Amino acid sequence: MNTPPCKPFIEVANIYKSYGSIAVLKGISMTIQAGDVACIIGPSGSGKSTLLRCLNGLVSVDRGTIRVDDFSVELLQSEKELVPLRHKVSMVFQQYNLFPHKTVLQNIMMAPIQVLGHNKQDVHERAVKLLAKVQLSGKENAYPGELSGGQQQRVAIARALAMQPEIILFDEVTAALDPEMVQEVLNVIRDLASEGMTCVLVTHEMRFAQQVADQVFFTDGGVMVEHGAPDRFFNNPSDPRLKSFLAKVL
Amino acid sequence: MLFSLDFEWLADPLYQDWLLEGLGTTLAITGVGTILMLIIGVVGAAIIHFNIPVAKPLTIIMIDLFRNTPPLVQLLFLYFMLSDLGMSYTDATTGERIPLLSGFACVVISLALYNGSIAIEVIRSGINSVPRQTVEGGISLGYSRAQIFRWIELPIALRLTIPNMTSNVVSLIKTSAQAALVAVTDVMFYATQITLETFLNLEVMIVLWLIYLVITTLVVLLAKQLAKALTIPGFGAGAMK
Amino acid sequence: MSKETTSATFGFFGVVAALLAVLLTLYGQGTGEALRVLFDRSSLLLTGSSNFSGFGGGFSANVIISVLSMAIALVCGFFLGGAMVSPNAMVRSVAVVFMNLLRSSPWLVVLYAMLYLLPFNVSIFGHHIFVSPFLKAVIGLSFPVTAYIAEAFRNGIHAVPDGQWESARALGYRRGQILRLIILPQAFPLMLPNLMTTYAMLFIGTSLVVVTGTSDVLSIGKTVIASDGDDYAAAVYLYILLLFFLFAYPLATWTRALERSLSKGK
Repeated sequence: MNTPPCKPFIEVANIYKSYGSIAVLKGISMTIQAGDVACIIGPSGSGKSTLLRCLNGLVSVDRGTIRVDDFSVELLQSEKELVPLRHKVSMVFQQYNLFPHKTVLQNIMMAPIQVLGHNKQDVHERAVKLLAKVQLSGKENAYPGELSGGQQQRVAIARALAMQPEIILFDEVTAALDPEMVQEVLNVIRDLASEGMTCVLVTHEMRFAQQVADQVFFTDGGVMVEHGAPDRFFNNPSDPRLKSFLAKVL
Repeated sequence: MLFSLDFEWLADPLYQDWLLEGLGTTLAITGVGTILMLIIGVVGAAIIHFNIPVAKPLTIIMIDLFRNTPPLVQLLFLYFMLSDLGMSYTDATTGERIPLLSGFACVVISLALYNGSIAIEVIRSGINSVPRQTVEGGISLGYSRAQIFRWIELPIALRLTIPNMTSNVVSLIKTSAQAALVAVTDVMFYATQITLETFLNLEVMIVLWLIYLVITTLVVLLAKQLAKALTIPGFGAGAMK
Repeated sequence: MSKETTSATFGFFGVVAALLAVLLTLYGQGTGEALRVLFDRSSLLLTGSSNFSGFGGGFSANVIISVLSMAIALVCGFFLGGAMVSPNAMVRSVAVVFMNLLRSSPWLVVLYAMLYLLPFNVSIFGHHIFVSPFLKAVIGLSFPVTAYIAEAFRNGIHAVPDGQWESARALGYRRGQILRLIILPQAFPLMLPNLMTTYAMLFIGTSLVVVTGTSDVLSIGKTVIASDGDDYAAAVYLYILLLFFLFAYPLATWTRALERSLSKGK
């Protein structure tokens, strides 16, 4: 992890995205190294979530290039072409997005079996281990609706991990949680980061970003205003917009 | 007159046989009809959902036609069209033309199409009420649109539509009484036969009405059990919206 | 054109075209002949008279029966629905059971029952009134429809927020006044799409009155088939399908538009 890799793992260059007449991304670029934890912060409506969704092709860009490892994401059009990318890049959502009609264990096991065609036995073993990792052993047969928000979000993380991804995208995963549940989810992400998983987070948890992130990005109005290591970023911001934002949230 | 009802005819073995035989036919019609209706509902909803060229406009025309015309006229048309197409044979003794496809088949097909058109709309509205985020979860895990339909949207939609689908089945059962009008020997047919012999119109109609009441009530109870067995814990009560 | 108008227009012309296509497939070379028969018989099928000289038979009978049944059912349904929201638990449960019994009976069974149950003559104050098959059909159809209307009525009242009752009570209104002056004016627009759907269902259900011996469109269709030959049976039934569709489809489109404007207004 400490050896500087020759080539960034994720490279976003000058991307644009509009919904009708509303421009959401106006020429954003960023690079993220393998094993890094990158946090994207910024005011609501600044295009953070859209930027994140571009990384795994949930949203297609109008212009610009996105490279994730060997994939040129902007060139992948059909669902079929996107499947290998989604194998590599998992995502966890603000609203958990679990499948309500399946148990916790089924939620975790479904995609590896149905999408990746993995052996059921292996996936089951993996799923049980992952549940233990997110400290939900014993909840295998519960349904998502029977769990608290924090528990559901941890299931969602386990589900993402079951795809054996190399990158996980976290889209404001603690924003819908009650305050007392935020920590249990952040702890799981912190563990993942320390294991060397590449994580990209859109978050409002500034303290978490400060402690865990290798790089912090600040977007506002669809452009990348400033980025850097958390130390300099939080303690010595240069851009006035970032300064006023930090003054409000810190 | 109202208070001197005569139910002694019910003790007549012939009438008992008739009613039982008719009941059997009615149950067969509604059973096969329901299965076909569900198949049409799922296939039709899938065709519209996936925006399949040619098939989609045809499906929509079918829904508009069947939902806005009387099922009885649909049945009569089907019955005579099939004989017009030459799918009939001439009875040697009476010289009468008899349709090749039995009245039974016509009744089942017409019910399946009429209630199937309703079923398509019911399932479609179920699919539309699957939360957008749940679908997005599937996309991000690499599911294809077909896989999302098969594993996520359809299972949730079918559960959500149980109440509406139950009324549709009840409607199918009630509509099936029109089978008697194309000489299919269902319970309605035999009941009218009995009234012709006994002139006990009120009594026979009360029994007939009770028979339908029992069938539909059983279906509703069965559907409730099914809904209970398939409940998604914590879903639907505003827990996941 | 809005998306809804486009799809309604598509459905309308699509169905008409589909019916024509079926006619062409069935009759091939003989389509012209079949159309001529339908044209000649149009007056009979539409009005029950041979040269548009009167109405009250054929398709017009179906329309009249549906309107009269609806009128009866609206009155009865509002009373039954009112009983279903009565503060008296006894009245309420009897009304609910009655509604469910009415609703779950097949229309054909009810019509048959009417056919034999209603006497042919009723004498009121010495006046003898002949209960025609037409009247029996009207009364028979109004029974199940009453149940649907009662339910629509109840649902409409339940759709008005409870706060309306509370605030009206706080202002000193009595129960009857609240229902009449405050709840119903709000509930009626909510009920309207439901009532229209019920009417469409009733209208389509008028095809069943053929069993009562009324001169409705199906009975006349059968007469036409009997006189012009079985060969034209499919054509006649297609024509009747078209008639029902031309009446019911605009109604359904209108109902959908109403529903949309209601859900938008929320």
